[in-house]
Amino acid sequence: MLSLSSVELLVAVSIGMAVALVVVLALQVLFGFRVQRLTAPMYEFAVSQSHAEAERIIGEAREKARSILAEAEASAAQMLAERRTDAESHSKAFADAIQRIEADAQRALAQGAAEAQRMQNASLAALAAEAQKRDQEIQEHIGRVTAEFEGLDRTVTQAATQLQASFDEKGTVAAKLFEQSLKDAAEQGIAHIGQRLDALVTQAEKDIEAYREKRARLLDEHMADLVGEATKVVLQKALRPDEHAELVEKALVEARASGLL
Amino acid sequence: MDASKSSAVLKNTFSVADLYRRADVLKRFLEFAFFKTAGEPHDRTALMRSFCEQDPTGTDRLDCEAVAAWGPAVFDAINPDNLYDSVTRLKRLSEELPVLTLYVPVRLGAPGVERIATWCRTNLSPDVILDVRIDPSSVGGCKFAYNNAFHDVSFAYFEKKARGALVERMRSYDA
Repeated sequence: MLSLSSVELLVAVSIGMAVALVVVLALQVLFGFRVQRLTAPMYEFAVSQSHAEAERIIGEAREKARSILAEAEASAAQMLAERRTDAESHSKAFADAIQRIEADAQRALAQGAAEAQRMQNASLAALAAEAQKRDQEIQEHIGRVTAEFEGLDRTVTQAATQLQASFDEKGTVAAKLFEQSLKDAAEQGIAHIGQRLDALVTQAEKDIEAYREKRARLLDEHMADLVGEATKVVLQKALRPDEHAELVEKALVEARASGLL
Repeated sequence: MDASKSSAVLKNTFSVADLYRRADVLKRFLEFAFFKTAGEPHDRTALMRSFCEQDPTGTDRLDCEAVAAWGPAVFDAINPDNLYDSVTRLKRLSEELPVLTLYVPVRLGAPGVERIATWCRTNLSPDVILDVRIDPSSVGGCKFAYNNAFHDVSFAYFEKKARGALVERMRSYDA
């Protein structure tokens, strides 16, 4: 009994809450439309006021900018005119200065050239005077040297004459001495050549004897070879087998005696 | 091979060639004795003579006599069963003995070989055996190899030894 009433109470409470919710939603929709209908004109008015204010501020800013630009252009044109005037005045001053410097330079150059010409003329005159002086001195020196040469030539001629006389006198003595020395040298040379020839002949005789001895030895050796070969042939052909056996036995005896066997 | 057998063989065999040749003679003789005659031979000398007369190979008479002279020391130990082994051992006897290899200019013949072998057995070793070879350049003497040493005692050796005397002798004819 008790549980059945609880279920029914729960269902009733739920239905009641659903109805209340529907009512709340309906009220919300109704009051929402009313508020929107009241605030829209104010909002539109505020927006239009703002647009007007903004256009006014922008217009003032444009006007201000335009005036600033005009002032700047005027200032620039004035400054440009001033600078152009200054440049023209400076250019004129520069041209005047250049012209002045050129005139000074030409004047200084003319003065230098005149001075140089004057100095050159003076130098040439001094050089000509000096050259004339030197030429005169050289001529005088040549004259002195020529005179000395002539004196020397005479002295040399005299000395040559004296020397020739001396040579003639001493040449005879020298020739005699030379002839004597040649004679002595010839005698010594003949004696030396004789000794040398004797030595050569002695050596040649020794060489000939040695050569003869050597050839004789070679000949003897060759003859001994021939005798040996001939003996071999004779031994090979002429001996009987028993004689060969005897020679073999003698050879073995010799080997035994020599310690070979 | 026992000492009595080798002694009997060496008594009349002086060179390796003789040994080989006589071993072959022995083989043929014993083949003749064992397989071509009836029964055991009683008189080997007579049988050997008969063999030598009938031998178609013309065996040397000296070899026949030498083999016959080997006597019982050799023959008694050989029968038909060990014939070939015995002959082979006999040939190998030269490998057991000291060998003097002798180079001579001509063939010396049996007496010459015997003479030299006798000298060698008297002066070198009683059981030495010769291996004789022919070398014409060994004329006037011989060349030999013994105990791994070779020597030349031919005419060249003597001629070199007496060269000075020979030359002096010839020079004496000049004077």
